[in-house]
Amino acid sequence: MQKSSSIDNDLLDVEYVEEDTQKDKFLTFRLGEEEYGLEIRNVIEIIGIQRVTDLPDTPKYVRGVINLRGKVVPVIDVRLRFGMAEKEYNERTCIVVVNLNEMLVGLIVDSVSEVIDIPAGDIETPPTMKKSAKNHFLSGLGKVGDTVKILLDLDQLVQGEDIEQILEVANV
Amino acid sequence: MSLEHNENIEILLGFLEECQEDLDEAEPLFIECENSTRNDGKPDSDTINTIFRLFHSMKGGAGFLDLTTISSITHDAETLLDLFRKGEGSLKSEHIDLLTNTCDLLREIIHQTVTTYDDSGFEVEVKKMKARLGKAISEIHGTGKSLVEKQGDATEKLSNPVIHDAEPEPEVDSELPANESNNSSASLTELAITPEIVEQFVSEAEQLLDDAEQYLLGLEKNPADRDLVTKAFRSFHSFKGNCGFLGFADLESISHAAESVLDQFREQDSVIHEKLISTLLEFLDFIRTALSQLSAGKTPSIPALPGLKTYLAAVVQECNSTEDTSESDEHSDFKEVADSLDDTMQSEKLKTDLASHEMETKDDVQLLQSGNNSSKNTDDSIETDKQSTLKENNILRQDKKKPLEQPKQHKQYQTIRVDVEKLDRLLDLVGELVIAEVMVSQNPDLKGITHSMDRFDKAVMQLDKITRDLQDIANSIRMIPLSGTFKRMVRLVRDLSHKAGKKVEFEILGEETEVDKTVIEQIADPLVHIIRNSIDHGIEKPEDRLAAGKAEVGKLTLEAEYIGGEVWIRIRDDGKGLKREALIERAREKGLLDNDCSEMSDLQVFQLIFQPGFSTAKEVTDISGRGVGMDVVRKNIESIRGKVDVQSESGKGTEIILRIPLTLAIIDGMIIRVGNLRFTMPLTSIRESLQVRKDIITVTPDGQEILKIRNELIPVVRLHELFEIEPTNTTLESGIITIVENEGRVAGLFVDELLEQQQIVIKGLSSYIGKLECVSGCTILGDGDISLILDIRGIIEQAQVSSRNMAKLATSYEMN
Repeated sequence: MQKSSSIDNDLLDVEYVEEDTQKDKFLTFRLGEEEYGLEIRNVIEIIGIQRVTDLPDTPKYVRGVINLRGKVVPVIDVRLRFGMAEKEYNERTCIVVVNLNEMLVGLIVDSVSEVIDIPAGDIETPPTMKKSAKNHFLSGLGKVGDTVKILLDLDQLVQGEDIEQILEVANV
Repeated sequence: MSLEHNENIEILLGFLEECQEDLDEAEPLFIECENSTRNDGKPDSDTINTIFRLFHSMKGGAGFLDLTTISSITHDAETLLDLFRKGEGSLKSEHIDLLTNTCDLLREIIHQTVTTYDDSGFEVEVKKMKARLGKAISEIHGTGKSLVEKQGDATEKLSNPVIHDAEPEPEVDSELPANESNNSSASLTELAITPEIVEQFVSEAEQLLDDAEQYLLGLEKNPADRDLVTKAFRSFHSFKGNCGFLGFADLESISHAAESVLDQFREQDSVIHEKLISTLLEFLDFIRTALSQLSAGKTPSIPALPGLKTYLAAVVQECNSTEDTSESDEHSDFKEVADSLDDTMQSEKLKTDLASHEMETKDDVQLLQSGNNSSKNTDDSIETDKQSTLKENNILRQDKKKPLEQPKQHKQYQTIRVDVEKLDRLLDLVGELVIAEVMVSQNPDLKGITHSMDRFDKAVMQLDKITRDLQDIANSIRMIPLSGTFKRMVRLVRDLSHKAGKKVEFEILGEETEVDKTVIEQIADPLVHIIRNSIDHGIEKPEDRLAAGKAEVGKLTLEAEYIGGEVWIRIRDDGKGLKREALIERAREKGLLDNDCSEMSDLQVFQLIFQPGFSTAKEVTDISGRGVGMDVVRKNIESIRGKVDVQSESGKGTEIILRIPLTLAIIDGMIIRVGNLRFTMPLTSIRESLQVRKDIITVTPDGQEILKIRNELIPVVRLHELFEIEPTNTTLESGIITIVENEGRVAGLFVDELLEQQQIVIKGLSSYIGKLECVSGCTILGDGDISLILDIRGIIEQAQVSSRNMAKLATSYEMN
């Protein structure tokens, strides 16, 4: 889609509106004590936890596949992805289905909070003081009132290197 | 023409696709020509005509789309073909080479044009090819007429109509000198005719033709209505004018003929005959057909034109003669018609003369001529029998049939081009629908219902039937006949056999067999490899064949047929076959075999040719006569879940059978349970399932369990260990052993329970997961759960890796 050409004004307007409504909007969810944020444009839908079919020979954080209305969607446990302690799923556990480069992936999170606006001005690049491998997945820190939301880089979260590998590199 | 708009690009891509199809069609015809030439010294005229038409339509389309390179090269090829068509030159093998090379070049150009929307950039190659074509043409022609010079003509857009103009003029003038628009048309066509104008013309013409049809139909009811005659006349007249302006000579000529007939009735009091009206209605159909050619980017032509005109004149005559002969007008009428008949014939002669003189007009004259030829004989008979109306009628009946049948040959299948992605999406959705349907009909919630469910059951049955039908149709959409792929092999066989100095008779059977599109893509390469092997190593040189007491010409057969749920493609040759000893010896040298092989079955020995290491070394092929790229064959075929069988008899020949499943998306599966997980196994890989007794189990020191079943040693794979599941049963005796087989290797899978056997829709695991060792995909079960499909090959391989001892044992067993 070429946005530069200016022939079809009507069409472009619609596009802009769509862009506008999604701009600066983040879906926040909770993992342990912290709130995290994902850009809303990647989010397809949020569903409750459901039966996950295990897959052999996959990293631990890849919990398996679910049946999303006839589509087979792999799911990742974000806790395990971050190297956090495993937590039993409960009725608040959600699967956030995201679309990453035309590929559907489900993210298992403790609970989903809300959709909020975080203007670009309120987002700061993550500090590099502490050499934490988890920063690898961050795209920024969003200031919302008194709280801070950890904004995630979906690409890295889903397709980035495994946390163990990163830690290994960091330790060496 | 600017190609910025998507619509135009679509037209262009559509054209290019057509070109590829045309080339695919033309190539085997060349070979056919060559063969028939070899037999009786003359190419089959039908074949040559078909090829000529293919090139002609490519040229027309290319000209319309401003693809100058394609249009100029097809023009030259067409010119050359034309010479053979007219029997002016004898078709030799080098001409076939030249023309097939032209096809290759065209393919290259088309291939590029598909992505760049531009056919330039092949100047050097095109120049060379054109020089070769030009040389061939002038050699045949002998006159030394410089053809290279006039190559520019073909590139001129819509140059054809100008040529058209030149021919009908004498005819038009002789019949109706008062008509001025014709004379000016030649100069008018010099004006640029843009596609927009053509488009406008077509839509206007359709309107006019519809009007004319309405008036004619009205006339049929009210033959005396002079007003309707005038209106119909006017419609034809306007249409004729438009055609004249754009220089569509055939259309102009035919509408002129219709117009003149109506004109007579406009002025006279005589009643228009019913038969004449139906003739005019038929004319309308011809005009419409020609118009559709125009919308398709071709120059409109009515090959049957002269025949039609003669026919019309005769009908006029017939109608008039049935009227009261006492009327004095009638005689003059009769005369008029007779005159016009003479005129028609005269003009035809003129055309023929023109044809032989004017090189430029050749291609287009050809179209007219083919029409002429068909009506020629009947024309002559008309002349001799002009007085006897009865006889004439009979002949005219025949004549009428001819022009009516002709356009039918060009009738195309009613097809539309659809984006493959949309098809795939449709197939996906249908797959999902099938699953959803099962989820509804077998919904666990239904079990709680106690009252009668007759109506529900009926509705579900209906839904089930529709779903299955829909699934069948969706699957059949992707089914394509093998003929395209098979025909491409004709060329390959020809080239290879020439190169190898062997004589090969190639036979294709069952080319109409349809397989999935994916299969088509996957079998082209294997076929090439197999056929190359057959010709290179299988079929002997003519002298060797004669020495061996065989016919000089080797026979190679490519055959496809449905057998059970599979399509079998057989490639059979009557060459020297595979030599068991040579294969074994070679395998030993390569280290592929290390023990005694005397007990190996022939089938097992022949399977050796598929070993990757077996195929690469050149000397292997010299000894074995087989092996180049055979591992590629097996890999490709296995990727579509097919199998390759080899049968061979030393000295008699070899047959390779590719067995391919009909559909790729649905398989028969056995659903098994391990712990609380359900897996699916392809039914085809299951040999048997059984409960075992303790006495047939042997445990090796490293813990590998082996079963001895009917003298066969089978290693056990515990699926629960492989997938790290908590099983219901831990001892082999308490569970079930399913014996699975892949490429001659066997393993026993230890499972808890066999659940059911059902058709399953295969779904890929997400690209995120990638390829897993022991899982080939998954399917969604009736209750919505996902069941992983076991990759039997992967499991057997893993089992052998995990236990080296066992692997050795298993291999040695296999060898023995």
